[in-house]
Amino acid sequence: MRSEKRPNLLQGSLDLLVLRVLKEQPLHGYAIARRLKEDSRDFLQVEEGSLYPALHRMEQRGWIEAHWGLSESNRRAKYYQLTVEGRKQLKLEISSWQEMSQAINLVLGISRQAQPNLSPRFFH
Amino acid sequence: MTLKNLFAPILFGEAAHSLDREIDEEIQFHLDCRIEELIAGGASRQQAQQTALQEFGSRNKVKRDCQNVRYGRTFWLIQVAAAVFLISLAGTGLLVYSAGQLQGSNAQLREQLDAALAEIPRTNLVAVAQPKTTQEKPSLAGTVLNDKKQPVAGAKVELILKTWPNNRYRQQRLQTKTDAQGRYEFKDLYSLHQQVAVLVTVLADGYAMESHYVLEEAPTEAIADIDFSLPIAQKKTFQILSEGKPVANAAVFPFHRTTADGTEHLTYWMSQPEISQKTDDQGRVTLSYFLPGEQVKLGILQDEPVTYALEVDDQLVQRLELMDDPDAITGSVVDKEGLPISKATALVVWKQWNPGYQQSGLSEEVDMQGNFRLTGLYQPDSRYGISLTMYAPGYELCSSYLFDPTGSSKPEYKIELAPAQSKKLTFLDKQGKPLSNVTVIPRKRVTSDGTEHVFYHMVSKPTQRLTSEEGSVDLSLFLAGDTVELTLMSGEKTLATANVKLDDQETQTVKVGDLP
Repeated sequence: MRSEKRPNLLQGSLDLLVLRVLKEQPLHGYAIARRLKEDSRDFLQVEEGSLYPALHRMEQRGWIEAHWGLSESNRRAKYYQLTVEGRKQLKLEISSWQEMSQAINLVLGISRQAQPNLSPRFFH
Repeated sequence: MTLKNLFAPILFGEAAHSLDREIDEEIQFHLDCRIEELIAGGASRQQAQQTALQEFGSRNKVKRDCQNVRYGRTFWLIQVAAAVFLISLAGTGLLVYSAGQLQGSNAQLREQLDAALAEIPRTNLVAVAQPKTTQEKPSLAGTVLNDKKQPVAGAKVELILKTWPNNRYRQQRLQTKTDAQGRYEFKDLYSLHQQVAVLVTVLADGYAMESHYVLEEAPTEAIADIDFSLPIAQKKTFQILSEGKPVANAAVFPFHRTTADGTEHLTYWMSQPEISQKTDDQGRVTLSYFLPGEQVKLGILQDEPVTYALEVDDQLVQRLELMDDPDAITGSVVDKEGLPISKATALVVWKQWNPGYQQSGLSEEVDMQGNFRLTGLYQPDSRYGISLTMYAPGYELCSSYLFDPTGSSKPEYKIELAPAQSKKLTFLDKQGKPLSNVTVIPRKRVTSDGTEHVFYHMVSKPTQRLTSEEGSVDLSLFLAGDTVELTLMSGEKTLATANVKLDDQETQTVKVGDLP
């Protein structure tokens, strides 16, 4: 069964994924976990034990900010949204992730297709 | 002091209770959502509750982890300060009352007040808050050695002690130093059979910062000795800048260190007053607690506390920019596939006319993402000229020159480099004798499509090559079809300028005429 093989998130990738999900809209913790699961087609499982401390940590770092609002079921829920700092951090996390996945691909010998040359040869 | 200031610590205490309630509410909301979802999927309420709780794991642990994040910094110091303040207030009130009862002379009253006030501890806020008990409590000890197994004496040993009395989180900081044998000990520290966590961090100048964390849920015996074997650290000065200017008098301390194998060592903000050092007028501070290549974070306290993450380079002085310089000239360098080139150096000649004409040369290494920043150069609306040569071993050598007489905009570089042709040039004189021990300096390159790249001599050091006994030199800096102008020098003396059209062979011989 696929669910038995479902991996937990790779260490260090939780911040990246949470910031990415929050880029689109403010969400409460439960919705963040759901979105990650749905967006990965049930492949990624977020451990609540990691999610909430991570949310609080990111809030402390100023990447996200929280406010209390009303949920879909009309209950008080804590919503998180991305800050300007968080957007910057998301960019950084994405580039780190790309770097790492490229490096892993290189080690695994998975070749990378040549990208079309879109940038100017050199700036003058 | 206003009433607001007077009661600020108490108000903070209420904030903590409120925060705890919020964490509880947040967790409960999560569980309820999951329960409703399971019920909607056909489970009974009882089954749903069981499953939701199982999936969530230890609710207390999640709460504690959230609290650790929230309170792990300066908050508890404020709490302790509040406690000390209230004790002092109560003590003073009692004294005044006692003095009134005695109805003694003013002099007697003053003596008693002085004596009693001296009793109020004021040396160490943390020590005041330690619980007093007659029960025997285990100590925590260990030995600090260097990697040659010699004791490290006088090292600062910072302890963060976490306990959960009556299910409330409590965090204290203590400090001691190692003795001549490298031993340290914290006496009468915690209670057996109750959850306790300790973070011990050792800071010794010239040695890498190390820490060790132990969590015991219900210890039946004392925590075993926590020993350290410290590797020698790199001597390191950090220069802290903000918007390109030095940040003087900032308190800087080692906050986090990740070793090459991924092990993490850390301190807490609580320790900052004891372990930080102040930057000098140039924004410099020496913190020799890391090894080159490590990912570290520094805690920096100036107007507000910030942490700064960086990779330690192998230079003696490393610059850190706290705030972006809005006038910084930025750029990036990638290969033909758009991947960043992380080993590259921007060789820059900067010309400015205000105040008076000045020309300066500098070099700036790119970071792991191939990005570079040049601060302190561009000033809006001031005439400037900039020559930038991008030198990346294994890639073509490129250069550009930009002159802006009005200084209305600053350049932003997006540089794409092709792999250089592997090329060995052999230089011979007219008689065919090899020109050995001659410095070859690239001065100009004209590519096959006619683009010119001019290389300034004043920043050409990394691109210079010395010929061998056979007059040969590896000059893998160009592409086949390029025409390059090379200056040949012997010591300080210019021997000749060679114009070479590079063929597509790996080796090429150049005959140089008209040598002096």
